[in-house]
Amino acid sequence: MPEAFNVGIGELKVSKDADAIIITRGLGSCVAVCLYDKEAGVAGMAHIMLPQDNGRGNILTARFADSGVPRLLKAMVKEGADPKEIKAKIVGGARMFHIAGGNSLLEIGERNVEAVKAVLKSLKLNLVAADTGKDYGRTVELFVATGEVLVKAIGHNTIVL
Amino acid sequence: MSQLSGGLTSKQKELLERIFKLSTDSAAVALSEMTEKPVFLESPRLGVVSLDSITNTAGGAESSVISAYLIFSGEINGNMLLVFPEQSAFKLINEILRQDDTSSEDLDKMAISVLGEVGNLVSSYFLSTLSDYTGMDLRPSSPMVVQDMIGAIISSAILMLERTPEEILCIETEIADENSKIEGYLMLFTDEDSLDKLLQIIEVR
Repeated sequence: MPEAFNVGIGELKVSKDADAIIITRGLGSCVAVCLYDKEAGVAGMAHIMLPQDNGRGNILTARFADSGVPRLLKAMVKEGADPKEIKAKIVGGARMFHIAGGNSLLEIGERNVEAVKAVLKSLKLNLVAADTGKDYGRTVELFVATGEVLVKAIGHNTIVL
Repeated sequence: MSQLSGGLTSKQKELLERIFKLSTDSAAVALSEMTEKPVFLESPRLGVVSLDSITNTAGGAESSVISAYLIFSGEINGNMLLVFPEQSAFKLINEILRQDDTSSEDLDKMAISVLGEVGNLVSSYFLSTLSDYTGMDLRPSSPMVVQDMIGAIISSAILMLERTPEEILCIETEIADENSKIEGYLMLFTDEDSLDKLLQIIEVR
């Protein structure tokens, strides 16, 4: 059995255990940011909830796109990853609820995805694959050795990124 | 300083629990009328919880549930979720439609509309009791029914709050009929500003 690390809401996890899988379960409008450097054998995942840090001193390190993604990158580099070699894959940002005459908050998933993409760009990280948007929840598994990402959902086929 | 950061005082907790008990009793009446059977809602548990612990309700973040979701606004803002594990949802639907057929486990149009109506009734009974007691004007949106992983539903519901709180006031109760066949949860989430306001109002009364 490979070791499985669970990433809770607003958390991040980095591993260089080649047998490990990093997992986040039941992702809705949040976004899972998966980074990996195959050469260095380092991979990490952050579970981003919201676009912008409200600066209120959060316990959760990866809660916001603008502060959480840089923290994930820093943790990757600390474990020996080379920023130039890192590839990024992102999953999530679903629109879970459709309410007639709804408000802009309904677009939170979309705004999370945009924010994450912007941060990845500013950090010059290479986004190679994405499965975002749509209207259902996902479980995301990142394989440390390969950087392969499995996306599972109820009533949908598993996607490999 | 937010009310939540230090947790609720025991007096605040007692006051809130009393109001929410009245509100859930009234929601149980709505469910009993729909099923024509006695349906009970347990005394609500009230807590200030972290996001992570809350998405592990009802069998873990990945378990498949059917949920009626709605937003309420007015003097305080928040949202409500009625959450049923799949099997329980179909049992409830069958009881309301007075059908024995349990083979159909598709969330078809009829099932969605029945659960939407359940969400509508429960939330309007609940919120009108809360309004009567506090004098606050509260307006619910129409409910929507979603079938998905519980973690995805709860976390996304919380992100719909006007301002995502650091911690969440969660009111949770279990729904059961006389044979306790129907397992379900009623959850209400509100942000810190709304909670402050609610506490101010009830402490004066």
